[in-house]
Amino acid sequence: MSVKQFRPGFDRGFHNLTFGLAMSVLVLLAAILAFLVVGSIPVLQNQGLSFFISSDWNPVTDVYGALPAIIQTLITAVIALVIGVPVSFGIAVFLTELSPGWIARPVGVAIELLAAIPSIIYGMWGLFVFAPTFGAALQRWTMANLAPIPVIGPLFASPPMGIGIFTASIILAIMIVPFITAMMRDVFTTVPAVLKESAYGLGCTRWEVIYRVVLPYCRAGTVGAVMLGLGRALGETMAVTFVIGNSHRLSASIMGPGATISSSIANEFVEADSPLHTSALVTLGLTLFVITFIVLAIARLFLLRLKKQAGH
Amino acid sequence: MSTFQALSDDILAHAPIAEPTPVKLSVRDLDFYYGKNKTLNSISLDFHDRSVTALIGPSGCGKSTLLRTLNRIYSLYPNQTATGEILLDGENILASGKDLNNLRARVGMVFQKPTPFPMSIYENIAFAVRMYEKLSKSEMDERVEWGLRKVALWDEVKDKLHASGNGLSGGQQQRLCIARSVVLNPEVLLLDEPASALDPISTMKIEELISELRADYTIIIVTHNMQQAARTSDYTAFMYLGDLVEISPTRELFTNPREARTRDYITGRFG
Repeated sequence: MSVKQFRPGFDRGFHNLTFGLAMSVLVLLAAILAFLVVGSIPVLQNQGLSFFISSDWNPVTDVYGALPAIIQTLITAVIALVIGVPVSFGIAVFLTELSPGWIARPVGVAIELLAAIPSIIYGMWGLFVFAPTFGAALQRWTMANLAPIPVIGPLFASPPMGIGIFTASIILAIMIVPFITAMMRDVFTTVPAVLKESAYGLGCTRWEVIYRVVLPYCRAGTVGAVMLGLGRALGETMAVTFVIGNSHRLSASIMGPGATISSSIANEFVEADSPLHTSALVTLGLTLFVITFIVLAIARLFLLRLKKQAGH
Repeated sequence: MSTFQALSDDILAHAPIAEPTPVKLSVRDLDFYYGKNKTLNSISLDFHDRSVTALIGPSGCGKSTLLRTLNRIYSLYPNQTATGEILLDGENILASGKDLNNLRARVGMVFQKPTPFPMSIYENIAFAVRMYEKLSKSEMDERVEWGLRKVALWDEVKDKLHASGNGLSGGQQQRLCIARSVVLNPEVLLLDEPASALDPISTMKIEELISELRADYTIIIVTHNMQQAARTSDYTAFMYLGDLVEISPTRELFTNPREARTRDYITGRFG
């Protein structure tokens, strides 16, 4: 019989190692923040607040107003969510509650494969396949039928080029659907079978079980899935850069070309010669960081309130 | 023989049945399959109106499976099938095209583990009612109170109706689940080991509740606990390996079983 040797040194070393790894997260965050803040100083000193509220972005005259990029980042992400969340929810519900096993498995694998496709491939597909089709089919129709309507008409007015804010939103929606679906499916499967059975046992329909039992049970996970999708939509770069048209212009139309924060950075960083231009792009990055942070904070608050309502 | 002795005391305390009530639910030649695996063999038995029938037997004997056919909850799983007939007031509930939601309102079910829904105590009950009836706010308040009083939970929760059902103790949660079934005015109540996850005092309360509910409903209870069967039921059915060995009035089954296998089980020789 051997007795395990007591080695206090090893245990302490292990403790210190994991502590160090955990601390590196904080250091990294601080380093990135510092880079963004320091990099932002020149343009903010030069332009002040007009950086955020002006829509004039002109590298030639060294004038930078980020309003169009900020607004269009939010617009594309929100449209992507409005399209993507119901679709993801429908797929996840079908996969976990309704489908027979022989179809749930291959579809589940396909979802995971879609989620693994690099975004640049979505971008190429969007530019070469989706945008021309979309421009030829849907945009002609919206131009003819929706654009003449007063008040909301200008939202849809644009030449039918296929590329633009709405196209980018749809590509984003397609990209976030696999993510949100996979997460929702995972949280839906955590609902105990007996809880669902007792709802069915009261005579609930499938919809009632899903809406009144499964969803409330998975509240936190579902909100988390949507927020993950939103985070990805806000920050997605390559696919958007391909199809959004890259124009720093604030227009009423969601069909026309635009630019998001990340697409502007990707497009212009290489050619940013003046220090002010570089600084403007770094400030855009800082802005995106702050927006993402605010979104996360709102999600947290929202969850807290839901928890209070449920009386936990 | 100590088990038998303890059982005898419970049985002596139990009132004999005066007159058999009419048959409410009648099972005829029921076979049940999990995939290709047959787990119930040609079960036939009757459940009488306004009486308690206990299903006992060792684990895997098919007693829960039998219970799960009676409200067709097994139909949620495509690989489970039942053949034969189950007549509820003479109507075959296994027939295809049966409205299952309506059936499950008539045949309520309570599970082993308490399963409050992720909503308030009030909503747990109102949710069930709302599926079948359109009630005004005050009518709904009344119905919720009625249901909670029926399971003797009202006094314990009346000040926190809008708190989460998950905050209650296990025994309270289980009574909430029974109330949730009872407010739908079911005709039959299926209880699948309703007290096995509870402490002795909560168990006692559930058993008291069963003898009170007996006046209004046909109750079928699956239990591992023979004393519980002896205390709460009018009839007891003993099942073994997917067969119904015997069903008799409870007093008779425990004092004078017809089958040797029943005698061996209730005296603790196996199981």
